[in-house]
Amino acid sequence: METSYTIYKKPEFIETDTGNKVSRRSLISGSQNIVLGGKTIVHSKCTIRGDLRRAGPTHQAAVLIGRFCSLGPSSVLRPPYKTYKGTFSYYPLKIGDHVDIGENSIVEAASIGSCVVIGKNCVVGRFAIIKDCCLIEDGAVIAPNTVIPPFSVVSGGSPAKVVAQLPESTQEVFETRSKDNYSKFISG
Amino acid sequence: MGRLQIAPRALVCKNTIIEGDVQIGNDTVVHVGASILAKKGPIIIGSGNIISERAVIVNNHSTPLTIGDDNLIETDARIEGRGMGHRNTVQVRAVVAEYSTLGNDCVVGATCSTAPAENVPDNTVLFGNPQSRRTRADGNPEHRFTHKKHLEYIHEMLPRYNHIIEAE
Repeated sequence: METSYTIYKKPEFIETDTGNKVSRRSLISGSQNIVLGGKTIVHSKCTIRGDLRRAGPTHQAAVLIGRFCSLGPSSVLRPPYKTYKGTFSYYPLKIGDHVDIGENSIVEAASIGSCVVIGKNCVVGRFAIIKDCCLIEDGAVIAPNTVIPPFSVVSGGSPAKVVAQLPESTQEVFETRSKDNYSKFISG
Repeated sequence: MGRLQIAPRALVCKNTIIEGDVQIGNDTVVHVGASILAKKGPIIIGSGNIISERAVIVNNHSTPLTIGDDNLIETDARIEGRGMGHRNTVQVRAVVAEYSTLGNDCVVGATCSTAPAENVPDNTVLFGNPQSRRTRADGNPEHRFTHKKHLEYIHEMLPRYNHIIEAE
């Protein structure tokens, strides 16, 4: 599928050595606890809470993001929290490669696999686990602690349900799309 | 114009939007990117509340908007009502609509909304889509337990990574 180029103004984005493009208008706290895999785009007004990390003397990152991801405008990435054996802690939020998070979505998942597309205005509840090659449709509200199996299409609100399956070619399709999006996101 | 009063032990991040006459009580935490807008009347926030990023508390009336103690207001929630009691949870993207109030120990579930001008009684849980509600009988033990520890954790970690507004 042919898509058009997205042209941005050069001063708006910071490009790192590994090809990450991070908007200056994004809100990132605790950047030392955030890992971006490379060639990931962080759009404007995106909030990433790297300051909410594991309690105690660990050097574990709070938010881990893979390659070729896109974090949409006004999206929020926030590590999940719980009390386990009487101690309160936030736990890392892991995101695989080729993950596209749409505009205005809020993600508090424990882990998101590779090749996942999350639509606009979604809510992914605390400690949800989304496996590889999933499509979360616009406005879906995934309940806390849900596990979404691979190749699922998830839709609807509060709680969202699996409504269909994706074909085996999904991995290839989503990979190509995210690479294409990255290569067509250029400064003008 | 308005005055901002922050209690000595409150944690209010610098990257927040606070307008008008706002009082923030002890131990309350306001995360980065939250907005507290006292447009016409004052907003009085009690102690031990957590207000997450992108939450909006707005008072469009001349009467004060009062928030009790130990409430948890999550990401992108919107509070436009006249107030709430203690130990409520307003979940992700939930709305407390105009003129409405929450009692004590209420939960407004993710993306749910109260009806305009209603007074939600104590122990009510709003959930699901299509929206429904029930009354809880367990007295909210989980919230009481977790919230205290959550506050302790945030009071330790937040000042390490964020700029905090110093109380006067």
